[in-house]
Amino acid sequence: MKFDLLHLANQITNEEYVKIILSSGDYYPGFYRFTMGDRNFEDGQLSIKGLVRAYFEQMSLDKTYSRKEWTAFTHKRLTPQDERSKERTDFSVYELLEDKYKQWQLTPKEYDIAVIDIDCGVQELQLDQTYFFMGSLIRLTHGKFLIGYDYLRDTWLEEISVDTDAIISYTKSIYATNHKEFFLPADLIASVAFNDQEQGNITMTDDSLSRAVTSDANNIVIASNRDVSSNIPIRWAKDILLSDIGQQ
Amino acid sequence: MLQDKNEKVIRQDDNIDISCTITEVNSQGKAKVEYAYFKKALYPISHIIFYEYNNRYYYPNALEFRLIDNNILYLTEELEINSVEKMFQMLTSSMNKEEQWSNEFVAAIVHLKTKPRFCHKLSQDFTIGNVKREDIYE
Repeated sequence: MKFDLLHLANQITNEEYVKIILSSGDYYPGFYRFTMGDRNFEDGQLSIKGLVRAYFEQMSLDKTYSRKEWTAFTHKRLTPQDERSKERTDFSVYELLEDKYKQWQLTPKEYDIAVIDIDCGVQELQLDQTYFFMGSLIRLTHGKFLIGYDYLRDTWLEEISVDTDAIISYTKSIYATNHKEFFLPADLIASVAFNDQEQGNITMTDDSLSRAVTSDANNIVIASNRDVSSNIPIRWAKDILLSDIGQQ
Repeated sequence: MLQDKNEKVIRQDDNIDISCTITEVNSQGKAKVEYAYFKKALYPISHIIFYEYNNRYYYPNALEFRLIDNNILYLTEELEINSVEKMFQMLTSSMNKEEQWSNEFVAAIVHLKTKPRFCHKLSQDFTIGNVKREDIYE
């Protein structure tokens, strides 16, 4: 039962690395990771309809929304968490983190925004499709496994050369009938960056707009703090829910 | 070789409820991995692995995904907890509150001669602090 940490550091093969990552799907979110079972659409959170409407308002009318408007829903969700934290016997530990947690949720210069088609889990991975998997956006292209794929910018955090046919077979074999619960079609489709006046400017491309409006009817839209999260592999695990600004 | 003989870190079957925790690391850098149904994966000691190379610390992405103590990088990068000491306070607190379980976290620092693959480089000011630690040298 020994696992060689020196091998893990220096000699790990591409195939071993990809398989370890793909082995990580389970129903336990861990301390700081959510699974899809924890997510439900909440009234007032950013939707595709609201995002697209706000984007067209910006394009055609130069209308933008303030940070206060974008984060009204985020603030609302944080309030009950404050109350629960105060009930902790170790509140002092939480107090240390409280400001950073709120800063992380509320004050980035730029948010990235992703859509997840929560009812469309797949029985088999397809090439050139992005999936939400345990808090990361992963993608297979011919001969490559991409971690942290960004559809808006067509960039990724890590690219690993691997036999993709073998990897597709591998995930089918280890997840069997549960496969569709762990690999949900998803993509990073937009970003919102705030200027000095704290007005948010939405960026989308023709492709990401198309991806957004063709997403499944039952989807959720989540945000991630781009300032500090864009270079880590699991950046969608504890999502930030912005306000449905275009619908206000 | 990397793979443990139980072949569960790299999963070979469809038992998706089995979680991994590192409970011991020897001086050769061999880690003992325990497996349990995820709701019962509670052990008296949990090791969190950090690599050190050229005076910088690295956290392995593979373990970020695979271990039950996952999302260490959420704490270091997103919440900017830049010491293991503070991180262990946070983990211990969560373990007490969420799992009603008390355990000890140990930092296993693996000192390397070459830069590790597939790792996240932690910030320049990341420190270990006053925690129980084990040092392993390549």
